Amino acid sequence: MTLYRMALRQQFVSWIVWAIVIALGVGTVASAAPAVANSRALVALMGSLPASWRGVMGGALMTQRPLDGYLYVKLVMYLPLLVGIFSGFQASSLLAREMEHRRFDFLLGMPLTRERLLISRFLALATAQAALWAVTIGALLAFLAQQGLHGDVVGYLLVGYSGFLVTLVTSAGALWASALARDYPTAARWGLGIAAVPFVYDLTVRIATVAQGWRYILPYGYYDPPHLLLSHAFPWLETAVLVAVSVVLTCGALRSFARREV
Amino acid sequence: MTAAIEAHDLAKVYGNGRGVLGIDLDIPQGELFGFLGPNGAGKTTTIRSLLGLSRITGGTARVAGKDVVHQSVDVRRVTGYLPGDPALYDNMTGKQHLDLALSLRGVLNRRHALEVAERLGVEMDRKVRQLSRGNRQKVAILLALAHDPEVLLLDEPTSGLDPLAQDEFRKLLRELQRGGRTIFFSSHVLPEVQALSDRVGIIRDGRLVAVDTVESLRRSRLRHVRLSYGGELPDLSRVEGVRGLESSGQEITFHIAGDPGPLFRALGERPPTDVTISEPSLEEVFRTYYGGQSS
Repeated sequence: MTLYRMALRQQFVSWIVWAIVIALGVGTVASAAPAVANSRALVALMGSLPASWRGVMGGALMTQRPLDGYLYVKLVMYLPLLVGIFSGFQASSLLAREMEHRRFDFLLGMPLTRERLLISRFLALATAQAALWAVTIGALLAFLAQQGLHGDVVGYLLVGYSGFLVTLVTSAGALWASALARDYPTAARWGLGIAAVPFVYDLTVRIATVAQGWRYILPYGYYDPPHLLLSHAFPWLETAVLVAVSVVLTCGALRSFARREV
Repeated sequence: MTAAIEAHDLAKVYGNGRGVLGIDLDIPQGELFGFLGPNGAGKTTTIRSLLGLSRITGGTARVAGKDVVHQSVDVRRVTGYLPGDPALYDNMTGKQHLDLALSLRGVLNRRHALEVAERLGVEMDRKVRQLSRGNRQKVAILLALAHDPEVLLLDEPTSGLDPLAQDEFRKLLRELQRGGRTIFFSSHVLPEVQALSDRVGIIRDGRLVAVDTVESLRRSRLRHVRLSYGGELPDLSRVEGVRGLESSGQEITFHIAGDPGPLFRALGERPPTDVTISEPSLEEVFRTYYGGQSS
């Protein structure tokens, strides 16, 4: 617990900054909600889009629930990217920067295994992410409620949970990259890439006329807010796949960190 | 007596071919052992290998009876480690570092740690980023000693300390030694090794070239010789064991290492008018082993 608390303290300032940025973004988007809550213009716009673009823009969600469709296109779609960027940088900071500054000499001079050190950092990172998602979804629902709109609480909780799973994979991947990178700037670049590339890939696959199965190669493909908001179905399959991938990536990070001269 | 630190043919070779090779150590419990060598000779690599922080590539090593590869966590439990260039957390105070270290070690009794802090004059309530180099070093020393370990592995421990703090630290080390603690410290400060150690190991280019008591190292290996002649100076450059030959006027000065027999035979043919043979300083011993490199 000592190492876990220490890792949480180390990322506290970053966590607060990101939480404020995301909450402000949520507020900005949600402030326009009353204007679009019953908009026929959005439904008409959806009808005019090519079929491949309709999926990207929320598909049936946009036509059946324009407000949620609007929130999806303006905000919810990008949340794993935003939280993922936070995770990528934090993972680099918690591992590569510590190695670069030789601070692990102090910690590894203690009777600790490297596994314990890395897992405590990963858990602290996952906790910070969960908190970011909680702040984001909480802020969204609060802003909607403040404007007299009752958001889909269950639906958005499921969206937050699903997004958390996606960013958990991002964290594990960034942590592995951080254990492999030769220095902190390289690790930070890789962390950013690990957060951004799956988003761009998913967008590309959805727009391109290729089999949609290709989406599921990278974690972003498992993030499907329109489906969750319309069906309220718990994402069991996504949970199993993304947790398994996170475990595999964390094991890779452990292996690389164990071999690394720090 | 039980060996507190043992190493047999210990090797740690990095990808670039540098590292340490063939290190043999046998340091009994309660010894204060100095590890001497210039920067890059392999002192830090040896210490990190003994702690299990660097994965050794050959040989075996045990600290406090525990294997440094398979029981490295146990080794670090009974060891206090001071890194050569200690990197602490800038935004934490000395007290927070101490709390963290004791918590990670599961040490509840803080009496020993607080005594050490008081003796060294550690500034416990200031953030590390506000401390001078010497005061940071004091915090790092405190963290190494806080849990009263059986074995201390200290990499350049007095680096950055002011003379008063160095004196207090040396006193503390002697007291710990009298209490049965084993202390292995590296240094390139020769008088410090001379003043503190029971024995000294000299490492050169990753190889341990000598392990001996400070006294016998000075006596058995090297002599400083000054010869005076009334006339022409003899050529001693080809005499076995003669090093650092210098001539000035009617005098020749040099070091003789190892067996002095060949020198005496040469001098039998050209006897000097006066001879002075003195023990070298450890500085001269050191320079001889390093072929004139500066420490």
